[in-house]
Amino acid sequence: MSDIILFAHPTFGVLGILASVWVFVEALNANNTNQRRIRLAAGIVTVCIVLAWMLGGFWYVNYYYAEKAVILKGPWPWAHDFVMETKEHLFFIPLILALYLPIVAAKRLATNPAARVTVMVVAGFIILNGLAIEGAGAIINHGAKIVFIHSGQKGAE
Amino acid sequence: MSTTTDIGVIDGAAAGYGIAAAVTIVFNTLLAWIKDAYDPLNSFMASLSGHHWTTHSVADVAVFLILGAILTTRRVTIQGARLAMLLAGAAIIGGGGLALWFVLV
Repeated sequence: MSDIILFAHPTFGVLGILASVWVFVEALNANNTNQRRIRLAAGIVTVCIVLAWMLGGFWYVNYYYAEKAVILKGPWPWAHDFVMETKEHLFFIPLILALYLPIVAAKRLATNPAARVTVMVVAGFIILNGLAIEGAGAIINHGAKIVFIHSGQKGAE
Repeated sequence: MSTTTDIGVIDGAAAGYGIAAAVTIVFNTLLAWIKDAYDPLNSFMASLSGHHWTTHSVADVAVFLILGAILTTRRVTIQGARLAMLLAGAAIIGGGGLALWFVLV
């Protein structure tokens, strides 16, 4: 079960990033016909990022301690000390932006350039932070994996 | 006089919760710094919910929702360009501040 949660966390993160790209492009081309799609996409961003937060948080609080112990004994302790410590707090930035996105996307963007620019900035930073966090997750995972690769055990490679 | 950054005003919940989002992002980084530097706070936050990260989550979301509701009720308005810069600045400073802290400490 913990593996399903672990993989669902970045999956919803990626879906949130993709939905943010969708919001950004729709806002860039805001007109009278795509307002409904903008609101729908913004809602999907919120749902995906909130699910990524809850699933990742549940796994972090309940299961990460074992992986942390492995990472700290290995050749990449900074995968926890720097990358994980940063990631676990950096995640709150796209979370807050994702909670805010549908609020500002409720404005009629085709006739409101202020709201349109704000939506694009918010979606853009969800994308940038999301990509950084996905990359950080891969480094943390490798920080544990590299311990076994360097162990010399047959098949670990 | 109109300028190139004069794209209009944001009002209502979009203004109140937009400012609250920027404040919360900076608050998040400050709380991370303080609890990392001051262990009794970290322990206290852990005692509230079982894990310091869970309490940190609740604190961030609470600041965003409560401050957003207060600012919305007070009918705060803000220039669109200013709000966009405020959110971008908060995200850059907040994210950069976290990375810098955990590199140095």
